[in-house]
Amino acid sequence: MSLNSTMPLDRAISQALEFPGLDQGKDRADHRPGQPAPHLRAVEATPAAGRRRRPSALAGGLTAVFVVLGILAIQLGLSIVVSRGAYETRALEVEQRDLLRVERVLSQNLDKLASPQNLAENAAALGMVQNSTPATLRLSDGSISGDLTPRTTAVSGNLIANSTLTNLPVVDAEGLLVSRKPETPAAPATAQPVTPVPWEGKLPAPNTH
Amino acid sequence: MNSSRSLRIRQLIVMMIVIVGAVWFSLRLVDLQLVSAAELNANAADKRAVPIVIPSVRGDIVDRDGKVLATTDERYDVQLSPKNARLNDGLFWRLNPNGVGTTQVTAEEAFAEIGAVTGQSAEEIAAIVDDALKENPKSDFAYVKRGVDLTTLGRLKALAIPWLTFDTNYVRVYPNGAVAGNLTGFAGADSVPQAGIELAQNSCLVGVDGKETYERGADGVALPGSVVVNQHAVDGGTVQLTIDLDLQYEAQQIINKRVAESGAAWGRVTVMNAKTGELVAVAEDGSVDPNDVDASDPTKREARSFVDPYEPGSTFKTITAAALMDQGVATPLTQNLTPWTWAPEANVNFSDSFQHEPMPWTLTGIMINSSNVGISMLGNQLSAQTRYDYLRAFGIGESTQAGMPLEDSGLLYTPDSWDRQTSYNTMFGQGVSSTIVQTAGVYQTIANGGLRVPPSLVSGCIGADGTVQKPDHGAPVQAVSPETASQMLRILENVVDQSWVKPFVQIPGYRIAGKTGTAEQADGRGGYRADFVHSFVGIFPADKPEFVVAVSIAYPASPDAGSIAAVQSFHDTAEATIRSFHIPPSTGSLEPLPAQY
Repeated sequence: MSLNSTMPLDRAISQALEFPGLDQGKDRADHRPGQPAPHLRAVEATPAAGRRRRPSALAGGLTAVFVVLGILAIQLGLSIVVSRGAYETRALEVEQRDLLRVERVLSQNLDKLASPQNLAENAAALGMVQNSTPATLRLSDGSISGDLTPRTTAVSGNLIANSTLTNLPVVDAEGLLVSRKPETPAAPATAQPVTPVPWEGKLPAPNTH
Repeated sequence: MNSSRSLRIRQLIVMMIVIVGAVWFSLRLVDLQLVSAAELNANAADKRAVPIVIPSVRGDIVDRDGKVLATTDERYDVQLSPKNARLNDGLFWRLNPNGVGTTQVTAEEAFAEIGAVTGQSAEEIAAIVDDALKENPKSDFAYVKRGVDLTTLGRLKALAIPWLTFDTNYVRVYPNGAVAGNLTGFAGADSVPQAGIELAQNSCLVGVDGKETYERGADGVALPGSVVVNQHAVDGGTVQLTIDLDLQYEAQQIINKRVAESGAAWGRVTVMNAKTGELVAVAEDGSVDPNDVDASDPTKREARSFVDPYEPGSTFKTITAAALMDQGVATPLTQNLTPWTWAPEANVNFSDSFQHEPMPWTLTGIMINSSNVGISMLGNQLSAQTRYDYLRAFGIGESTQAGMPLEDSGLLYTPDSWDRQTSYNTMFGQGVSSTIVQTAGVYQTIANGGLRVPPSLVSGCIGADGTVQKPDHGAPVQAVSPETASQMLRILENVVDQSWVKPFVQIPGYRIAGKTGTAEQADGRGGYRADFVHSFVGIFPADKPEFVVAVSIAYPASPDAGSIAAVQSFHDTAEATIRSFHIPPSTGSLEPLPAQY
């Protein structure tokens, strides 16, 4: 069988070597000396086509195999890329989720710190006072209504429960952050608590010109 | 010849094998693709396709400026697989922190590490594992601890224990604690609403859960392109209230302080916009902290301002006086010689709160001295039906629709079922009950030119897509004419100016109109209690009304302490309202009315 397959190839090579059209001028001079060259000459088309088809059967087969292999390789490559993308997507999704969680915690801590109880406690700890009766400047005629020496009231201690604040710190009279939880009085004699002195009387205002 | 035959036989055999093979494959193909396809697909889907619910997030409750009153937070449940924890004698290997090599960890070490983070002991966690395995040797699930926060979650994840898993759940958080806790209400486990706005506006707050399926590989990663979204999650809407958070805080501070000072059983303050009927603060003493419901007094968990009516007393003389003027029966100067006690019919008698000679009081004087006898003598000129109609026009006996789950209508019988005593008593606010919100609504009517705008607490529901739905609070009612309202306002300003409350109530620069009330309350045994509910309802600035503040202090240690606590609470709340809403001082001055002729 293997012999069979080589035979046409050998013959094809030998025939190709004998093919008259390959070296036209030389062949004519060698094989048809003295005779006038015919205007039209039959070309041995059929054997030539036959000779070409036979080698392309193998080449076609090989090509097909390579194409299939190529497709498989591309598919494999694409699949790797896509699944790598899936892992990347998942990693990014996890990262996004974690960042959103952190953002949620931060914004909720902000809400808790912005609660009136926390603000009032901190203001009271710092000895801040409130202008009870603000005066008003009317823009249309520039008149001032209300008392320019207003009463001030100290911030009253917080009376309203908020269990979300128990783990958040509060400032002391010196403006330092301390734990809100009542600590065990370790050395009451040495550490004298600094109580803020609320401002009394008229609120100071700068003299501007 | 021999070789050629054997070749043919071989060819035949090969051919037969090929044909048999082809037939076999075809049959198998038909079986797979047609006969048992459905079953196989279902099995495959069970093994790979993972249906997941994308939870929707419950919406926020915010105040009038968008400050958060209630929101949703994520918490994490720590779970473990008991069977895997004991697999391989409880040993597992953990990557070293430097990334090179692994360390062997025993289950007991892992329990101790988990416990150090969650605050449990190693024995407790071992007990969880062993108890679960005792019940079911193949147990794959047990809770270690539920509802831990993000910091704890991060520390547990860093332990890299393979059989420790985590799940998320949502909890409601109220960053302002008990500020407006009576209004927001609270939600229990799995955000199930139990009270307040949480309950009443649940349909707005709750979202639609999403549904997805995806196919999962062995390592838990979704197979590319396998995610199928069956339904997108839609988060819940935001409920916006008319409440001002800071004013609500101040009002609660004030009422807590005054209730404690006067030794009262309870106290309430309501601040209402005089033009729109919006409730900007509805404060009660000892309101619930929705984050920690169990810590609060069980009798004070509801919004009592809406569900607990009481007899209002003399603050309702305003309704009678307005009805008299609106019907043209009386003016602020109508004269009435008023004794201190009166028995108009058999078995009907009542008296003023203090003894006095028969006094030549005008209607204004009757209001200033809060004379029960005087207002009844004049009010008696109106039929019971007419007076009933005015009470209804002022919103008494009719449930408010501010936006809470339950709003009491108070008790107002129809006039045909009034006995003779009740017919007189209703003229000065006894024998009838109302919530403090309804009482504030009466004065809102006077402050707004006689037009009663029903009170509102919920200003709208803002959906996830940004659409706003405004709830229906009821239609405005012209209870009395603008002239009557204006005259009534002037009388009320004179009441403040000419009565004992003046030094307690006055705010420099602001004109204030108002009326006190000291009401007896039913004792539940057919009689009246010995102590009172002390009220003050005021309108300011009287020249251009902006707000109504209603205060009630119930059952104080002494009547004087209660009366003073009520007017002081009004004063402090009015000052806070002026600061919060930047109300400019009054213009013009009080037009005095004579109390006597």
